[in-house]
Amino acid sequence: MSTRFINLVLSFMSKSQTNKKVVSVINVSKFYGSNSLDSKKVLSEVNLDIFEGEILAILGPNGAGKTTLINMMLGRLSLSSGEISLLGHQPGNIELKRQCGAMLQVSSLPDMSTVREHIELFQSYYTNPMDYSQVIEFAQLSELESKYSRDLSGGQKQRLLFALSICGNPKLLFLDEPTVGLDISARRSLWKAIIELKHAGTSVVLTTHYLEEADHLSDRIVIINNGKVIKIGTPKEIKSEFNSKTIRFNSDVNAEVFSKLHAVKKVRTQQLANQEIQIEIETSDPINTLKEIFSAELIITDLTIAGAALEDAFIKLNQKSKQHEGDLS
Amino acid sequence: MKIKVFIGVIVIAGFFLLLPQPVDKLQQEPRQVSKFLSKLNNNFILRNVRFYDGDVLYENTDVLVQNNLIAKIEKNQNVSENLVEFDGTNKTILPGFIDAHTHVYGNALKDALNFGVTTELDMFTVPETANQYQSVRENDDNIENADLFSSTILATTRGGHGTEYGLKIPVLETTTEVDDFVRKRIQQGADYIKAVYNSKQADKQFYPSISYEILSTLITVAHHQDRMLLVHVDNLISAREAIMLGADGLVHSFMDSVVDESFIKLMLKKNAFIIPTLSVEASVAQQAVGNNLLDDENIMPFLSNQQKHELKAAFPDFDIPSDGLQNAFKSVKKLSLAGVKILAGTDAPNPGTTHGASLHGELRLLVKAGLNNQEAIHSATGAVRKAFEIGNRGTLKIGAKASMILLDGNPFVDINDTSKISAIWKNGQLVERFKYLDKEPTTIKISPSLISDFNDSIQSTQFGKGIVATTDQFAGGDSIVQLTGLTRNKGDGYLQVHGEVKAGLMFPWSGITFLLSESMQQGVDISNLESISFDAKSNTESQIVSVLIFQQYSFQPLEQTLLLTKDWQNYVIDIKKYGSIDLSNIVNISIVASEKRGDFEFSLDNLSLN
Amino acid sequence: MNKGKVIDPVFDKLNLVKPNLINIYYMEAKTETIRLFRTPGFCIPTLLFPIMFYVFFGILFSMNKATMPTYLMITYATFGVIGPALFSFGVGIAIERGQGWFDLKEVSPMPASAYIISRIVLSIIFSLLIIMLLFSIAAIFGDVRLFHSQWILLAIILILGSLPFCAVGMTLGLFLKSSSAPATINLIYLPMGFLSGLWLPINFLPDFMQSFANLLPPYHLAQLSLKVVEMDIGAPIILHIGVLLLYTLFFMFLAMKAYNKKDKQ
Repeated sequence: MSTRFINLVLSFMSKSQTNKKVVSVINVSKFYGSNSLDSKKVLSEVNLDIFEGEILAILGPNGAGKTTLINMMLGRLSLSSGEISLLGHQPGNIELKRQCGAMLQVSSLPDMSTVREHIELFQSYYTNPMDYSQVIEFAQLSELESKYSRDLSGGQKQRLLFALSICGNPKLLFLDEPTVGLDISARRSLWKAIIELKHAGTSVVLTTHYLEEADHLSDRIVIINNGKVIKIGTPKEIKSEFNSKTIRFNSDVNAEVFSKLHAVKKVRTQQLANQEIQIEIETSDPINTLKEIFSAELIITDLTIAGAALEDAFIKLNQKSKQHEGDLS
Repeated sequence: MKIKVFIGVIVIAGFFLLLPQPVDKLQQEPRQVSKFLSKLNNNFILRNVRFYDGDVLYENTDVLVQNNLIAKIEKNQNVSENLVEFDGTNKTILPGFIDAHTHVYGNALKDALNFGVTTELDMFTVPETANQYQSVRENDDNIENADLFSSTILATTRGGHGTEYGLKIPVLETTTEVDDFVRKRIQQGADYIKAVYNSKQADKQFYPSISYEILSTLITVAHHQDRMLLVHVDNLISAREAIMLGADGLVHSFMDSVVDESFIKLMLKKNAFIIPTLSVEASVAQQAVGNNLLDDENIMPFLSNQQKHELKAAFPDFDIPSDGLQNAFKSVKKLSLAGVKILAGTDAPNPGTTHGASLHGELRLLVKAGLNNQEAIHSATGAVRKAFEIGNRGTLKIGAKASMILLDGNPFVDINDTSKISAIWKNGQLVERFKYLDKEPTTIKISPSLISDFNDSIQSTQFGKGIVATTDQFAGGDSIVQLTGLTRNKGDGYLQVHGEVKAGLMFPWSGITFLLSESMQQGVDISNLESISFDAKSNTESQIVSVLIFQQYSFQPLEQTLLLTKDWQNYVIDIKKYGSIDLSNIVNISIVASEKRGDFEFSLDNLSLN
Repeated sequence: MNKGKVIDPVFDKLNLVKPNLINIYYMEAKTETIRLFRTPGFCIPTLLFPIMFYVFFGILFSMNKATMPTYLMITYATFGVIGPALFSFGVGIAIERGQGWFDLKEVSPMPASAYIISRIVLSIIFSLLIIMLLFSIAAIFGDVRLFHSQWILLAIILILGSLPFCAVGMTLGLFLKSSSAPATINLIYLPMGFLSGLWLPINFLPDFMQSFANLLPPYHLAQLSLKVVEMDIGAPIILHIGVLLLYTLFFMFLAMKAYNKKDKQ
């Protein structure tokens, strides 16, 4: 209990200090094969810093390389080039491990140990484990302490794995798809626990393919695709890069006219069946753009205005990167 | 946590200690010594006791033992009040006996001590065994076994006496090998060197022998390396040659003739000694002296089952003339009268003898041969010390270790009293005597039955452990044999035994063995059966086979020979003819070719006991 | 300032001394052992099979009541102590790899030695149980009698001799797929036991098979144990110890290779 309190106070203090790096990934690449040219490059030149007390989400489709990146941070895969340093240690260092916790995708746990036995065992690995009752509280395993792991439901199992990751009072927590298989309320409880931990000073690295989760939890998001980091930024920043609203309407006027409007980023047209044109305008200042449209006194039907969602940003980013690659090749 | 582990270890240890141990057939009754006697240890005084120090007899004196050593021999000694005293009126103290000719293995030295024999001079054993006991003989706390001196491996030639026991030992064939041989023996701990010798001039040549030249070289080399050279002979001619060449002593008497004046003079001139070993000579001469000891109620209860069997065992009949033993007796008497040193030795544990108990038998035989009681006792005590360098052993002079026996009687009047042992001390400490519970394991009685008709298998039998090939390769020989199953008439199976008896051993053999008992622990009882029978024929011209029966504990079987013809015939062997062995404990019956060297082939069928 | 090293005096003070290694060994061993005791699928075959076979062939249908109960007690004890070693290492590790549990333990601060030592302790505990059960049955129903020094020496030889099989099991566990591990290991364990002369005395097998047995480690462990009661074939002690040592070293080497392949699937 006292540890948590100290951590809480310190985390407030640290917010006013310069943010310290807990993980730095410098020019890291991973390839399989003989030489770097014709081999399969799983990650190329990844650069990334993780700061104390932040939740960093790693986002990307399957095969993007996020699992590889996490595994390299955890010391399970070797680096083909570059450096990773966590809390001043090399990945895999046992001193480092004593300050970390991990929740990996495990199909099943050894079935004939109780929840309590699992937790107590893992706690013994750590110098300064969390209070047992606290662990139970965080992971919401109160009624389940003497149950054997084989008798746990899928969601309960996930909570136990979460408990094992936090029971050592880690400074750095790795979560690999932590809410897969959980129902909505369980998911939200876990989010709550993760945020609480962050406030207590724990840095969290999580991989997820739930965009809502990344959006809700993370302080920053790293988007990875095809082994490259596409974008690092806060959810707001990422969304704001494409912080455009889309104004959509039908008209019979030539679309070129609209590109001259205020703060227009892009105009797209689509020919409709009835000789009308559907026009999409992306603008970072929709209000003034609209004013100009109306003042032009054009004939407009079916007017809609939509905001960019993370999904959109995500998709667009992917398109952008593919395009970029296409430009390069 | 540590407590749990500790408890766990205790529980596990307890479990293992609870597991049952073999019920030793030699089950020992605890603590035979009376409470009072048990206080007589290290420091005590014996009063008014008859005391013999190995040379001098004191009819009545006090003996003070201090720090395990004889401190004072004087009447009416004044000692401190705290000192334990023992009233030895009508009792006798003798030095612990020395058996000057034995062979040591197994429990030998423990058994010896149990009968008051505190030192043994071994005349052939393996260095590994000898070294075990030699290395502790000077230790004060060596009170569980008699002290051992040994020759380790004896000097003999290829195929000579000593090679028939199945041990691979180095042999001498040329004089150039002698130096190295002696050096090695000394390296392996030999206190003296022993050789087996039979002169080319002797009447009987039982076995090959080292040559005269080799014997001569042995004596020279041994003396040069500061060791005595002792010789085993079995006739006067060989004895004379050996002593003339300078051998220090003979380890047997001989039964072929009586010593003559020139031989006696030679012995005196050379200051040589003789160890008559009348016990084994008597046994070879088929005088079952071992049985006499079994009848002695002072000896019987202290014999283990193994020792009882050793005493009951007998030699095969070597056709010693009836006056053979008398010759030996007469020789002993003449030599003793002339002043030649006689040493008591038994050659235990040869058939009819055993460690410890037989030494008492030897004393009785020496007296029978004509020595007076004191001379006999001297031959097992002070005389040995004069002949061998064994420290103070055999005597109880001032400063000697108090290894001695307390007898409830007077052996100087009745030699049989040596077995009335009240107490034994080794190095001044009281030794517990072991009494053995009289429980002989019961052997299974066999009823008349077919052993095998060889129809289904040539190896399996109706009872017992089956039929196997046997050859003298077991004892280092080269004979070979092959067993084959064949059929005759209409599918009647029989066993064909085919092989070669090769020269090499004194008693070569090749043939089959039938193991009667399931258990390796004991044999079976066939004493109520009449005969062994089988059909047999020879495949070469007439073939001589020997039918041997082995009792447990004995390596010497009894044998009957048959002449097989080229036709199948039925042979019936009368079991009673094997009467001199213990038919209640038989381990195997063997049918072998042995007489003639060369190829042989014979066939057997329908082997049975009736 | 140290380059890249995060130093926070308050935080670092909270990281006191290293966690107690002995405590970790104890917790790990305790957890594994309790787990397996609760798993009848492991306990029953491991404990019962050697005993069942022994009762049948060594006591009820023994061919020679004087020697077989002792001889087979020793060979079945050999068979019995190999089981926990092969299965707890072989099957245990393979299954945990398949579950992803092995990876979780690997990234945790559990020292690798704790993983291995806890399983060795587990294997020894089961071996001891088998030995105690088998010895009791042999002493009570088979009339086997040995000196205390022999009983104890046998137990020590058997337990120490199970260590090579921990190494074999470890290698198998790191190489085999979790789905096929139990079947594969059984396919190795049972025939190997038979061909090493553990089920029936070695001299019942034809000569060429007897020679072949020299390649198999259980044969050498059995012969070493039989020497305690002088019922062995008569080969020198150094041969048996040598073969067992060779197997241990070889499989430890293989296991390390398998484990150190960081780029594993």
